[in-house]
Amino acid sequence: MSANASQRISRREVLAGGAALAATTLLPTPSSAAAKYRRWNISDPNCPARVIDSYKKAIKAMLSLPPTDARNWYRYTLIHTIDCPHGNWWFLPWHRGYIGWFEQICRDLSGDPEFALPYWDWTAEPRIPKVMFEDVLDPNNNAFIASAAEFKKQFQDAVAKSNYWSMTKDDDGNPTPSPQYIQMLTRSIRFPEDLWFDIIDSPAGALFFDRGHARGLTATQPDLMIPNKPPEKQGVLKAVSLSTILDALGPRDFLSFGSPKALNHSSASGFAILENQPHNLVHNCVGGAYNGVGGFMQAFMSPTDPIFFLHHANMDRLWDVWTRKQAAKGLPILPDGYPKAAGDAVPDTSDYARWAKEQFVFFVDQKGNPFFDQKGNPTNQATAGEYAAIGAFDYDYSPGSGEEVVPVTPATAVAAIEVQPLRASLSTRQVGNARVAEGSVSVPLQVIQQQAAPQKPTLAATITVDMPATHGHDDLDVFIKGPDGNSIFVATISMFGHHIMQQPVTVQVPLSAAIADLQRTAKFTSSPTLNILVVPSEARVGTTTMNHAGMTVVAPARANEITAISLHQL
Amino acid sequence: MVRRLLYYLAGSSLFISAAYGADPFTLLTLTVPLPMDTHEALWLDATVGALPRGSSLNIETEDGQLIGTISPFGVTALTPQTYKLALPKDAAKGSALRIRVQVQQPDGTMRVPNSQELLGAKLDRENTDN
Repeated sequence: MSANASQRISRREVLAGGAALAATTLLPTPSSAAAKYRRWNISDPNCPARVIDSYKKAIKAMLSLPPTDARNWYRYTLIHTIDCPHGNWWFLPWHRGYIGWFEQICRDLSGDPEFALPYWDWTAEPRIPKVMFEDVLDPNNNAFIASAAEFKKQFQDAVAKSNYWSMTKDDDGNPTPSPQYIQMLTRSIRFPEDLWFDIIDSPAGALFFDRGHARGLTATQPDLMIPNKPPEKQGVLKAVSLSTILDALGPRDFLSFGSPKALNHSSASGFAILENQPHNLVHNCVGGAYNGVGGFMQAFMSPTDPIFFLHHANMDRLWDVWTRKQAAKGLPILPDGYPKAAGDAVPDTSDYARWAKEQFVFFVDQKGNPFFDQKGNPTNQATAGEYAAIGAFDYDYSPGSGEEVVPVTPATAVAAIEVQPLRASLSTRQVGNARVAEGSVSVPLQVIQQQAAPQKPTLAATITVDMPATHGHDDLDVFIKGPDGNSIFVATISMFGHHIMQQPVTVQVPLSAAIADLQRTAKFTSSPTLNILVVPSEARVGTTTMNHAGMTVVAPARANEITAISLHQL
Repeated sequence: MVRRLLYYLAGSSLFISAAYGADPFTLLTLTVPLPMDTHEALWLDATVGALPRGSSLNIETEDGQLIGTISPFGVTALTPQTYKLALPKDAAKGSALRIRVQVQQPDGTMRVPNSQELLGAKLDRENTDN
């Protein structure tokens, strides 16, 4: 495959006789090794014709399987309906696993051992690809179930008898819900009728769309457009535009790129640009949310529409692009704490450990086998960490929109000086009642100069604050002041919630941006002494005003005490 | 490392509902954090509650440049969600940024978001390559 080959696994385990993924932590490491399968842009003239033919064969085969078979088209759709994460940091790995196992099923049922999912590059082609209105690639085709009533009639018995609701026994022999059932309960789906209520009767909107309304866009109007909107107000076109995609690929950490942390993958907390813009708006536009036609793609039975898998293949491609960009620039590719080399320990308390152990319990393999045994114990392929890399799915992508963010030449090793913690000398400690805490510290010139350089270690201030007991929390602003008296705003220290501090609390604030800004104007030629100032942001109580660094603030009635300030290299 | 300097609406921003022509909107004034380094861009975090199915929030600069459309996917969220949007590089002029927010309804008409739909907005300095 091409030089932009996708992530390979450095410690890949491919178990004999199957495509099982490594059970150990997978390390995405860029490699020039060829992938076994290639996911093509469906509209690329080089996309082999057999890709479409095999996809149609697989869909027909899955539609023909009995409702009791976990690979049945609608049964596979229901995995998404009951388990898909959105608005959290598991959005990307869950969907990688979901479409990855779907691809394996298609490969098996189509009889095409080389089959790989195509993707839809909506940035290059902001309309449904023409071929997706052919035959069973269109969910309005007669091969699909015509109505919600018919769907329930055909599937209610199989759903009721599925392993979704199974009980297992714990070590003491007591009945306990299976991992699947626990997930169902997390989503308030207690028994089959709850699920059918969501699918057909929910006042928030049904999930099933009858024939004729299965897709919101048509062969004669396939464009990602909102009716009656002028070109400059077309939100969907804006969402898939190259400028938005480049913004989505811009973040330098996983959470800002792949959506934020949440309690579990069934709860939502927020949406990064990648998820809330191209992902959501393409779903809703294809699903007829803007033209009133309706369509599966606007809700959680969206995989009923075969274009779902092309849409999510493009999402997965962009994750791969971002990962390669990060790796080439020496930036983190996964949540903090991930192992960067084989054998690296993963702290149990790290973000990565928490992210990686989240269980995905509804996936099935190419034969329809679940990844849990009869006692409910996970076998393998059942956690987020196992989808951190493409791994044994062993595919790559033909180049598409956004590829330009990956540097052609990876960054060379960063040469940076080591900096021991620099402890500031505190001249004043109290913050509040018109008082400002201030500490001074001499910073080596070389450290100052490297703060503006990309990929060099950055500097942070560690500030210890002793808050009065039973006192509420005032926000504190941190400034840095150079020898010329200019002050630069650094950050706001803001506590969350109402905690009673039993001891001083230490917070860390980034200094690099402010120091780089100071350097731009001061142009230091020798190691300067910098002052770190901590001032109240604003007061809830108190009326004293003060003017500092060009800002007017109101001091709180009670003071915090700064007990230590030091500078650390990150 | 992400540097997040949070500038919440409370205390520093204004909600004003207005109508120009046929399309009513809410006008928000947000404080712009300064300065920013070479790897930072200004992003908008909009906190959005439950929207009626098929409805979206349109967010524009004061002069009508589309920043983005927030269009929740799937079931209606029961808890507020935060949506990130990148701002045009020339959106912020001076210390304040004014944005217009409208609800686009399924029939295409526009209205002002209510307090359960638009819960807040803030500007966020995002550490980004773009």
